[in-house]
Amino acid sequence: MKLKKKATLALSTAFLAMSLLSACSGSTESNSSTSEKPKDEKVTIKYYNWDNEVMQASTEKYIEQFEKENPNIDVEHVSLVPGNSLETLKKLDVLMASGEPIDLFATPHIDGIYQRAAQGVVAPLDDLYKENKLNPEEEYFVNPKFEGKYYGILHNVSSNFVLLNKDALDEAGLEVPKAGWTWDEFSEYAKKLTKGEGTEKQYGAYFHNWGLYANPIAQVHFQHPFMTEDGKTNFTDPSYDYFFNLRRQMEKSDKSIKPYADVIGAKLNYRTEFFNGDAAMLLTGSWMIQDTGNTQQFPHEFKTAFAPVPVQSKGDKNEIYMGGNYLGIGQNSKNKEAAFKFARFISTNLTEARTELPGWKKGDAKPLVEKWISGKEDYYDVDSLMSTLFDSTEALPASEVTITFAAELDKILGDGFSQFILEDKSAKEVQQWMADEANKVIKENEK
Amino acid sequence: MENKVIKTGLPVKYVHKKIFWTDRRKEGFFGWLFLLPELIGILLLYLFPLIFSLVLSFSEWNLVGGLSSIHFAGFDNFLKLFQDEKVIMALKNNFLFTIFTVPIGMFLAIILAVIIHTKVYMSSYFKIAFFIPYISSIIAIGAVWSALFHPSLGPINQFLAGLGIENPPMWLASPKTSLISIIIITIWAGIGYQIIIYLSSLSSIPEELYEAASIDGASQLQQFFKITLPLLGPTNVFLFITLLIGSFKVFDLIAFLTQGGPNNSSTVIVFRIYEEGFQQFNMGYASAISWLLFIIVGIITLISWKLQKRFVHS
Repeated sequence: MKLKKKATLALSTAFLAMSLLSACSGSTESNSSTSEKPKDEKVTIKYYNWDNEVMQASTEKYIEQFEKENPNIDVEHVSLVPGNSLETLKKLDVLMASGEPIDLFATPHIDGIYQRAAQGVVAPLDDLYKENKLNPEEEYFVNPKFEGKYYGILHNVSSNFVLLNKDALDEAGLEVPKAGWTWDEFSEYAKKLTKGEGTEKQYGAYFHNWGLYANPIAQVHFQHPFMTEDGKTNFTDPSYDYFFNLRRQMEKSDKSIKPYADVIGAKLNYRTEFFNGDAAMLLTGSWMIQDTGNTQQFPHEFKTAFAPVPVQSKGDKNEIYMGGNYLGIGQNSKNKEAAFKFARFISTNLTEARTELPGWKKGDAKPLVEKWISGKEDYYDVDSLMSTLFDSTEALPASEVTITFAAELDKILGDGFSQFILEDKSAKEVQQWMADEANKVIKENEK
Repeated sequence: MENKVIKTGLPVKYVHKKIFWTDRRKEGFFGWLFLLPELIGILLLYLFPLIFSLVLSFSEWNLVGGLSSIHFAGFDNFLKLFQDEKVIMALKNNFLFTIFTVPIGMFLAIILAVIIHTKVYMSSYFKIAFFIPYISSIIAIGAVWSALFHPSLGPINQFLAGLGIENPPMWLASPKTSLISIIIITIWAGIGYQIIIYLSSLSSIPEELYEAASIDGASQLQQFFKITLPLLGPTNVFLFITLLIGSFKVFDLIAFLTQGGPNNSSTVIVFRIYEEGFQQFNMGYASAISWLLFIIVGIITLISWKLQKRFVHS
């Protein structure tokens, strides 16, 4: 009997353990019903992103302001992988797959929204916009639409421009370039800005290993960075041939940029390259406006000038692609209204909490930028900054093409460029290879 | 309490009656009970994923879509496997990686071990010196080597340039040399472990054998081939199998240093699985590649078991 007692005890313990374990996986059934909560009941929403310490301070300010205005909504902020947006997306997907209700999340690019909308884990926003009597097209620069429905809210917008070391420009007797300058002129500038030898050498420009730098003409001035408007790959576009060869010329004969092998072999950091004075020009984007004045983190003494991204040939329109961070509401969130409210609040917020340019059309971002640079004017060429940001460039209309495999196409572009520059293949040959690979991916995703 | 239990327990006089809790059953029951935690662990952490991945390899599943988005896909994944250039490239790279790291690593380790064991003054210093890379973080090793391998300013290429070589290799940054660079780092980082294993079995070889041999006039080289090598047989087989299997699982260095690049020149099977499964979320296809790896490692293990019987002198 003693034995029996022990046995039942052991068995029941084991059973308990089993049921506990299975309970963990049992919660996968998502509760997608959005139950109306009574108005005065307090709700808590969770907001997921990849804040590092600096961004965290901004998010905390947002939340503080929001909770003051909406005392019945608590915002709990989770930074999944601080400072790393791509790893954050991976973790987010695992959370979503496990059935965890996600109220609000940020993605670093529009494709992050499309990928998840295609999987049905992001809530469409049409009804929420309608309830709040808002027309998204009048509110935000870009509104991601997937299969006829709106999905993401453009929180921060990022656009590309070129940073120039003003001191180096003055020394070489060059003027700050104006909107409409071409890539040929850019390479001339780079040649003139190159001086010195060995470790002391100042290169004219720096190109990082991202797809953006393999062909900025397509990435910045095309409606869609990878696709034509009729849904084909744009890898056959002549601009690839032109820009690849320009890169080769600058690297091999002008020697005005650091070799690509160094960039990937030594894992160079583009911020350091520019602020240390190793490169006098850097194609980058609005996320570096504040870095320029942040001499604590990036110690430098020179003044920085700004110029719009060069165009392929004189007279080309200077309309640029707007990237940015998007906010999405989880399909299984139980507090979609509250999440929407918070998303609207932060995306239209122009107070000192904001550290990046807003994706909201209606607000005037100029005072915001002025606030950022005030007291640090020694490091900015203010005129060129303001004209680059607000006068000389316009947003391209959003592309009608929505794809969920931009990451794969980006990898093909990177691989293609590596073949071209490291294996000395011809641009034509590489373009053909890239187009073939892209067509495979497109076909694969049509199924 | 104790008395009560005995009273209501199994009375000894009714032994002839069929009882359920025979000694055999008791033993068996407790045996299983003690095995239970481990068994549950194996079921949940090994067997279930194994079977699940087999099911997945015949289906199409995007991780983000949740369990409801699993669709049966038949043999599609496996058919795709043999036409996928990147997988073929990964297989080729993996075989090259194995062919170079395992024999060269073992060869260098055995030579260094014999030298340290017999010839070197301050041998414990060298033991530690060689072992330190093995216990260092692989990321730290990667960071140091990527600085050494810097294409234009790194010490290695500066040295080569100093010798008058005009176009020194780009190491990690070139599709031609990226895999070789990874192989060099892997051998360097792993050799300490192999040396320690060899040293311990070298010290178990009785000294008398060498004395007898030298009295009979055997040269050092003869002693090495006739005594040392045969007696290291079991160690050789052990290291060979573990290194072989380990070489098919290489991932960390590649993920850190090259991300399989440039242009997939240093990609290996496990890195492909990671890319497909956790970057593009094609769980079905990633599972199919995993099963390919499982089969390859399985075959290699079977072959080496057979060989083990032939080569081990015990």
